[in-house]
Amino acid sequence: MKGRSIKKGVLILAFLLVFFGAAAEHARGIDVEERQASALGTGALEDAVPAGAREILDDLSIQDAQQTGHVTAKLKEALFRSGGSLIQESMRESMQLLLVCALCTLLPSAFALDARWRAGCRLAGVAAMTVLAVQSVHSFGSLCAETIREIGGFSRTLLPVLASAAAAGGAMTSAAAKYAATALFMDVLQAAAERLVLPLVYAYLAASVGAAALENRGLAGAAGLLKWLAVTVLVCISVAFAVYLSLTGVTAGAADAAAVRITKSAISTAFPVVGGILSDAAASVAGGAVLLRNSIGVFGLAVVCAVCLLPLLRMALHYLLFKAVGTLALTVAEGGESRLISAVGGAYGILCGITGAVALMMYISIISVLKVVTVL
Amino acid sequence: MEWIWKAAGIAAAGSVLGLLLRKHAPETALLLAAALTGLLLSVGLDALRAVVRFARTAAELSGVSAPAVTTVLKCCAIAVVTKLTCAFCRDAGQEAAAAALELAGCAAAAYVTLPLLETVLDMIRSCI
Repeated sequence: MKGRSIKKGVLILAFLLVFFGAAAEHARGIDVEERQASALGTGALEDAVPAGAREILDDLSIQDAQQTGHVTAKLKEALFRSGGSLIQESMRESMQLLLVCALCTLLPSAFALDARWRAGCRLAGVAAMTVLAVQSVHSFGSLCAETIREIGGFSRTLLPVLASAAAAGGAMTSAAAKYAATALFMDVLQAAAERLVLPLVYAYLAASVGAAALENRGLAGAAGLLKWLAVTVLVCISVAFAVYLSLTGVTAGAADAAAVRITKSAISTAFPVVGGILSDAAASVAGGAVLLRNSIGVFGLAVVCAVCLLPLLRMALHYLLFKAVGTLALTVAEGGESRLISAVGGAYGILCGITGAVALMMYISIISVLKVVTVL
Repeated sequence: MEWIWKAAGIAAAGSVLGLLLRKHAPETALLLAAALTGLLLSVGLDALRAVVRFARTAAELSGVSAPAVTTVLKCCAIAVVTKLTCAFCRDAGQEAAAAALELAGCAAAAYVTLPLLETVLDMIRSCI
């Protein structure tokens, strides 16, 4: 509570400094927007862009981010550049599992082996499929954790700058509240993803392997429970964040609107004639801060999108193709082998969900700060 | 495909001959059965080779690591050899030998799968 009050106090102070300082400089003909950008530390924000996103966005600056068409073109270009190879990679990995599944099912049938020997061949096949799948899922788990860390690291620079810009535009209370909420939930989600959901994904995969190797319904049920648990944890954190952000937005937004109205009328009435001019000048300066806030917001959205784009696409392609191949494998293997392929697809789906939840949380947070009340 | 007709002919002729020999010289009949099995396997060997070659080519094309496919193929080969030899032992009336061979075959299949299982354990250890 104390920390939040200090943060709120600092943001209000920043607002007053930018508000009145900029009003005075505007009157002297100094480039207000440039000074505001420098005061908010937008340079540090541009430096905090992760290397992968920088490569995709081609050293995008906050000023360039105002041209949304340019940003979209960069993202589209990256998508088309890497899309083909990502589809090939997903196809290759899913086909590898299908091939091993077909071999360990069709060969015993072709040699008319009895049930005991079929079970032995299935065990060998499941072991081979596990080696192939675990390697891939583990590398995707690392990719997911790295993406979350990159977004978390960038959010630690983006959110204070964005909240300061929003505070300079008149949203003192709501910007601070939203910043605090996003920072808190980002930390919670990051910790939950790395310490709870990722181990749950590995446990789900292990239970699925056991169920496939031993044709054990109990293990298959345990795998289903673990998957449900991982998805529920993700959904609960995301819903709690959205509800908390909405509630803080409603209460703090109303307080901001009232504060802005009172300040404007107080300035206008306290200084007759000059008060009105001062109030209008301050409003135009705050308008500049709003423009800057919007640019920072769009820049943040573009960077988060660039960070998540390729990992999310990779995971989504793996999820879809493994689910499709799992269904296709039912034509050659009705047993656990085909269910194992689907389970591997399910693991990719959860990893995709974790990354997507973090990205969505950032999107909601940025958009909610962009939509806060302004002086104008 | 004409080899299957040859194999069918050899098998039918050998079986009739074995039936005739069994009454008077059962040892010779057993030797005949062994020779027949070897001959039939050698006739079908080309087709078996083609199946294995296809599996290997498919594995190479999809980029599956060689041990994964080799293990499955070895397991199948062990199963086929054990099955044939057990049948031969039963023909000779050696039930105990057949059971022992089945056990040995299971152990061999498990032994062949061990490196893959060890890799799985290593991976689980690295994940933890």
